Amino acid sequence: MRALPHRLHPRHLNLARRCFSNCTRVVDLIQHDASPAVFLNHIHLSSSQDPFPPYAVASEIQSQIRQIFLSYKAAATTSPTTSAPSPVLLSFTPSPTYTLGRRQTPISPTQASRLRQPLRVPLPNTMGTDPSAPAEEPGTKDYIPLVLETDRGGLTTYHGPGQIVLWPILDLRSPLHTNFRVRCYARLLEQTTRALLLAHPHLGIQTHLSEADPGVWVRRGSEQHARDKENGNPAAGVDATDATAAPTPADLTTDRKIAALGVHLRRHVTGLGTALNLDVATRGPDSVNPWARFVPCGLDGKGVASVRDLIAPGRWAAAVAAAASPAAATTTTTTTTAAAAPSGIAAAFAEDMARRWAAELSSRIGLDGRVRSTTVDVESIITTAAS
Amino acid sequence: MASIARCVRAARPSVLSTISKPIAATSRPVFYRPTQRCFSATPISEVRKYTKDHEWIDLHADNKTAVIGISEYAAEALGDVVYVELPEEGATVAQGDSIGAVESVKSASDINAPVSLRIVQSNVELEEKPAKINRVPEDDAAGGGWLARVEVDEQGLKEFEGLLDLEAYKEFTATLHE
Repeated sequence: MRALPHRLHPRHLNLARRCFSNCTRVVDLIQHDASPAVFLNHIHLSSSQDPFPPYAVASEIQSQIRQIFLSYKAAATTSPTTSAPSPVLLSFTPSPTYTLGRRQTPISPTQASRLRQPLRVPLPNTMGTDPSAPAEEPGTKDYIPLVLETDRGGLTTYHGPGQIVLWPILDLRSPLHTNFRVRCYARLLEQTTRALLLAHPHLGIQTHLSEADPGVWVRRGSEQHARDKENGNPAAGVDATDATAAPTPADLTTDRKIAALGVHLRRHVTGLGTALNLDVATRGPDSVNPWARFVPCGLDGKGVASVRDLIAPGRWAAAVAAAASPAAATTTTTTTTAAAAPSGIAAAFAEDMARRWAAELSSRIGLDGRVRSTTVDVESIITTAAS
Repeated sequence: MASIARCVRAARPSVLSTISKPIAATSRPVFYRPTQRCFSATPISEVRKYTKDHEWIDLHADNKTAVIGISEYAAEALGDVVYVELPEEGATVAQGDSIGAVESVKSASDINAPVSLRIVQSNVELEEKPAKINRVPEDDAAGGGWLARVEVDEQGLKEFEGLLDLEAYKEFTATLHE
């Protein structure tokens, strides 16, 4: 990430700096691995202090991990003795942040100040609160979004609550797993998301790809289709009458993007990745709808979708409840090193989606779904670094 | 493709090259193949080498100036390039340092310096026509998809020796199973 200083809130800058100076705990996770079977090292970031870990901290952790991969590659050309680092997936849900792509010239002060208007988001322990509720409504919080420049492809996008950000760190040439070309890697991210949305027992969302516009898309009218499907075949434990209460958007005349994509590659080591909208406001005024402040990814006339918009409330509730229960773990082995306080059901759902995505990715890169999931409290990293 | 283009040029020297030959011959005393000239008025040299990161570098006969770019293999792997971030002219970089990027399918891939070098001139045409890097990535002539004209020093020359020649590079790409 470029231009880190002066754009960050001082607290975040401080966090990022301390993280940068010592990320040993995360680094240990990557390097400490004696098991013969290669697995995907899934690290989910949570935050016990703030509801959401800051984007900048995640970004610094990512660059530390990438550095391990790059150092290994540099060393391997002379002495190929040590084993290659296991592939990593970093996942998190940041506080509201706008990021700019590599090819963008700095945005104008007018655009920047528009992006930095306060944005009201539901807090993760109160998922389901109507974000367009009156001011000071409990369960929502006003954030001043950060605006950051990144090295990825693509143009402006938004990251924030209600989303799961998925950043695989792979060497596309690693001997440990299937290799990919650059464009095939973009497809891999898209197909992993599509498979997850379709195969999830409570979601079953049909998506498609667009040759011209990378990302995962849903066809217009998908909401109606999802509701009809549920009315005809109510899932166990789901009240079919819920369907009548589903939002009925009137302005769905285009395909909409449910997962955006933006990747950076250095020596075939990947960075950044994809972000899936789970429960992000996609309509309403720009005080609650983060997408209303810019043209997402430069695609005028296309919309943004969120998982919650696409399924009936009953199904949504079932999916979230399943994720919040302890039996939700779907990974082969799960170890939790940091006792990260689950900050609500929305956070649990996002983490569950990340784990499912990790398992899917692991299968698709030839690791047979093997994942080691770890939840790391970013505050604990920072505390360790400070002491 | 670029090698075919070069053969064509060699077989049918342009008017420009005929005119400029005597001048060039006096101003550049060291010349491996003085009969071959290309439009960009830099001497053609067969000394093209590749990195495992899929950059190429053409070292000219003067052992000082060179042209760099990305390989056809890389251009094919990237897919349609929509943007090229050009190297900063005048910058001095070490081998392996990032000097720019190519963007395709929402993926920005770093371009690394194949050897230690100084950027003399970037191919600004790529700013307007990034797709050129897909069509003629290994063409170092005017209108080609080359990335920059550079200068290398002693260190750069040493590193150049360690790079892959065309044959070795072909063998290397054949081992990449994707």
